[in-house]
Amino acid sequence: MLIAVLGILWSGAAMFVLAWRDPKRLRNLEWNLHSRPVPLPPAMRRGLGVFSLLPGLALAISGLWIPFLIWLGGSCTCGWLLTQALGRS
Amino acid sequence: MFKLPQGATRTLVAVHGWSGTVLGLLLYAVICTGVAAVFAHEINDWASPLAHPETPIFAPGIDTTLERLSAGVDPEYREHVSIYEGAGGRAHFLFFRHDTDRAGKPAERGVDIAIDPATGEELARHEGWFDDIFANREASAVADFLVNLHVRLHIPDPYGLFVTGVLGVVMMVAAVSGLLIHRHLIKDLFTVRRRRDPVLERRDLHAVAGSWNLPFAFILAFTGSFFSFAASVGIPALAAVKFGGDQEAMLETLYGAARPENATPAAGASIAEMLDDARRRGALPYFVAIEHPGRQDATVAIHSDPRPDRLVSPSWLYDGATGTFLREQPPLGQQPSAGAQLVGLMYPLHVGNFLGAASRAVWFALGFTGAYVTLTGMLLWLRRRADNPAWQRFARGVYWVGYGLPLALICTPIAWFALRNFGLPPAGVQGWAFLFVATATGFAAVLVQDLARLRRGLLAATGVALLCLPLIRLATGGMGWTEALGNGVAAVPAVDLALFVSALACLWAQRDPVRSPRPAAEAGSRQPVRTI
Repeated sequence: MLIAVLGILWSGAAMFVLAWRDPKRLRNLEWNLHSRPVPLPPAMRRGLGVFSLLPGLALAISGLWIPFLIWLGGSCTCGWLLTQALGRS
Repeated sequence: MFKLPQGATRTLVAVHGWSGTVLGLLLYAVICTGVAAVFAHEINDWASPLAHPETPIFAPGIDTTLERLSAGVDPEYREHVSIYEGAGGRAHFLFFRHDTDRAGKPAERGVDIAIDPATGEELARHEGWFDDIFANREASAVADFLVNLHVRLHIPDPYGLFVTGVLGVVMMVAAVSGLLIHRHLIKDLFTVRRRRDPVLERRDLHAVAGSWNLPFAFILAFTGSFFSFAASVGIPALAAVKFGGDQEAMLETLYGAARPENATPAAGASIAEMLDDARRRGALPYFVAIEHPGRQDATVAIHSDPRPDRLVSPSWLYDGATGTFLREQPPLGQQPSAGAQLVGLMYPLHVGNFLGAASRAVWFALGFTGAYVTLTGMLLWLRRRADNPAWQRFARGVYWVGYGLPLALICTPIAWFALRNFGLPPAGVQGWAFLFVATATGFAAVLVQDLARLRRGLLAATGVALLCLPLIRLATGGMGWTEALGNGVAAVPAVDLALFVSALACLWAQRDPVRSPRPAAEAGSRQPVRTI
């Protein structure tokens, strides 16, 4: 269980950075020019994307299928809630 | 993600929309009830806890209890016995026989006895056909109603299973077509365009939730269809094609031949010792099935929860007369195989029970997202047809089911708690309460012109009902928090708190206005219009 939670936190942190500085999301929000975050460059986004998937990859390679399923479900739910919350901000 | 030709995309958009719309309301009902049914175990413990700490039912005294109960049961029901844990940790002993019902169909008839495993006291006894027994079990009534609605929409077998199987296929079609038509699935994962065009906003809310939920939408739909079709279509079809309609022969091939008939009376070996042996082999028993108890050919099957590091578990078979271990039984077939593993994976992947409440909480969240995707998809479809009067009439149906169904589902246990001391059948009470609330909300959907107002009203009513549910449970003799915590029944405060939080969420959500497309005259304004 702990390993799955750590994986979700890992992926959640990466997803937060990805979402916070997502170029398409930023384009569609009204920002004060001075406070607007800078979108992440494509290479960094790709890297963070892979980084967010690492826990799942490690769990799957290790054959830890139960933590893998919890990680996958928890990360998907986190991603959706994060998008909802940032969409409202 | 996939670049398809324009014509193919248009066709897939139509497939996606129509698949979700035609049966969307039923699909939404199945998903909503499935979301709640994930916590069926906790709901049972919350609704009908025992007034002492939970006692294991597969304990050393099981043989004495079985012997005592068996002596008081009609001999014709002693053909088979199932022992399993019921609501609140009750031990159930189900004595039954295979029979033929009045319509000439094979059915089971027997007597189900619920006892308190700590004291051995008989708590409930129900006799008759299985359908009647399961419809009248008071302790698990709340969860049974939800599960039955989820599994077969309360439609008689096999038609109910067939309908829910088709709904699973519809969900799979919607998920796959949604994946194919969403060109920027990855790029749009974090994009919700709020306060711009309400149609765009709804499209984004639907697409984002659908994208994040995609793997699980497919898994839940596939496994759900598997269960529905396996029983209603798969087994009869396989038997007809391969075994000339002989289901017994098919089952023998799949699970091994039954032991040779030998009706000579035998005392029977100790179930407790077989359970101990199975535990030494790695079993975590949750269900014991005894075939032909008291005979030389008695067979005991010990079904097990998977070990903490596994998703699938075999069963263990014993000679009921001597207690000799016979063999391990995979979920399918007589030898371990990839197919058996796949079949064994279906249940944990569908219900998410592999890591207790933690995995069920994740599955609950995923199911909730699925319900959200279904409802927002239908609302988006209707929003895009805002000028079509026929579709706007259908919109009333979507609001009725979308916001009225959760209210009806909350009112059913309220009715059951309020009337549970009057000796009425639980399935009947809940069924009528559900129909009554569904009808009342249906009238509201017809009479309230403004759909945004209808939505607010139904959400507010759901919030109030959610607040009332724990109060009514307590007022009608339900266990209080102090006693529950003293007895280690965490489900009581946990479910009460979950209901309270859900009530607040509903009451908060009903304040959120529904926005509609701006009329052309207002196109320059950024102010949303607050009616549909």
